[in-house]
Amino acid sequence: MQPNISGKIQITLAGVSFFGDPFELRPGWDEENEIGRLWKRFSHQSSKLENDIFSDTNAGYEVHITTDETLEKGTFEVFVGMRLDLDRLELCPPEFCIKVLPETQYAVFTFQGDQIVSDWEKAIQEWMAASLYLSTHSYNFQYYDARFKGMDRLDDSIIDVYVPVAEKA
Amino acid sequence: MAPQLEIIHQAVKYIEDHLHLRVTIAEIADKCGYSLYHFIRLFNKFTHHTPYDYLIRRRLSTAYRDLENTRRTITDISFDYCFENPESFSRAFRRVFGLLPSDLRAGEPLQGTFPIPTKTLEDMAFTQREDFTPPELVEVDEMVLTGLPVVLNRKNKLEEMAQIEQLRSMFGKYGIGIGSHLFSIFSFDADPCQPGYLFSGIKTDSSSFFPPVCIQRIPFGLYARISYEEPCRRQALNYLLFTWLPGARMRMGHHFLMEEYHFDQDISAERNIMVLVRNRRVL
Repeated sequence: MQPNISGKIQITLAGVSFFGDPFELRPGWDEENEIGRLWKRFSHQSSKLENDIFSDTNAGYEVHITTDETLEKGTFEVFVGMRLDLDRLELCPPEFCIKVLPETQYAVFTFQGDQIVSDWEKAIQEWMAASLYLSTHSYNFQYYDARFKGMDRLDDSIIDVYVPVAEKA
Repeated sequence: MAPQLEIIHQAVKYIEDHLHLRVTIAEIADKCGYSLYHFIRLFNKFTHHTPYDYLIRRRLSTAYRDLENTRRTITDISFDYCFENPESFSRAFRRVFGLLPSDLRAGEPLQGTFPIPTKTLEDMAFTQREDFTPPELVEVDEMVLTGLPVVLNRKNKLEEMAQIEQLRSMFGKYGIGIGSHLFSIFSFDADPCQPGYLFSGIKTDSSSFFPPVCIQRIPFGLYARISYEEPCRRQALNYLLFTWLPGARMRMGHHFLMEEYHFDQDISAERNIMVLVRNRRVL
C-alpha cells in the first residue's frame, strides 16, 4: 500500500460536526450511525442554502479529529462538509461551522471495495512507522467524490484518505 | 466474523482484568491488534456498548457490589476503581443507578436499574444471530390474570414447566385455557438474576376459582419486548436489562418480567420477554 504524497495544500471547509463515539447507536460502516446521520444533516442543511457557498459540490470531506480524550475514552470529533468558497464566507449560515485545515503535505491512500470497511487506519499506522514520513496533525480526512457509489455498492466504490505528513528530519 | 468476536471477547476480559487499574481505550485496541477507530466500531458491533461506557459501567457495577458487601469507605472504593475523586465517582454512580453511593449504603434500594454483569461470548453471539431483533416498545393494557404462584429457588425451566403442567391440568378440568395466551410473571426483590417468585396464569373473567388459584394484576403501560428461542433466554434477558434499557435511557418500572406464549404451545417455542419501562430522569 503506497500513498501518493501531495504538495502543500490548505483546505477550508464548511459543514457540521459531532463529538463523541459515533458508533454508539449503530456500529461499523452503517448509514444509521452518528456519522451517517451527520451526512444526512449536512445534506439537509445544504439543500436549504439560499446562496452557493461551496467552491466544489462534487466532493465531500469527512474529517476525524482526535483530542486529548480520544486515546483514553475513544471519543473524537467528526466533521463533514465541502470546500468553502472563501469569497462567500459571509454568506455561510449559522447552521454550518467552518473548519480550517492547515497548509500541509498529505499522504493520500486510495481504498476500494472491501478495503473501505477494513482496518485501514492500522495499515496507515504501519506504513507510517516504516516510512520516511511522520504524521503532523491530529486529524485525517476521507475524500468522497463521484468514485464513491454508496455503501450499498461498495464493490464499485473508491475513497481517498488524506493524512497530514512531513518528512522525518 | 468469528475471529473478530473472539478478539472482542478478549478485550472484554482485558477490561475485566483492569477494573482496578488505569487503562485507556487506545491501549485495549492495541492489545487487540486493531487501530483505535476500528476497535471502537467492532466493540460496538459485538457488545452494543461503547468501550468506554462498558468500562465505566463494569467499574461502577463492581463498586456497587463492594458498597453492598464490604465496609470499605466510599472514598476508598472510588479510588479502587480509578475515579479521580469521590465526587466524580458519586456523580457517575448516580447517573447509572439513579442514587448516590451514600444512599445505597443507607439502605435505599435500586429502582429499575441494575449492576451489569460481564459480557460473555454467548451474550455477544446472541446479538449477531440472523434472527436477532432489537427490543421494541409496545403498549399493554391492564390485565387481570388467574393462575398459580410459586416461590422459586432458581428461575429454571423445570420448575416453570411443572407449574404450567399443573395449571393446564387444573384449568383443563373446567375447559378453560384452551386457545388462550399464557403469561408467566417473574417477580424479584432487587436482582433479576437472584431467586424470586413465579406466577403463571391466563386472562379470564371467572372469579369462581378457589385456592391455590389466585389473581394477579398486570399494570397498563409501555413495555419493552424482546423475542428469543431457547436456549437463549438468559442472553435475551441480559441484553434487554443490561444493554438495551441503559442505552435507551430507560429503567424498569416494576421489578417483574412477563413472558407470553400460547397455552397449548411447546415451552421451547419462540417467546417474548416484556418489562414495564419508565424513562430515566436525567441526573
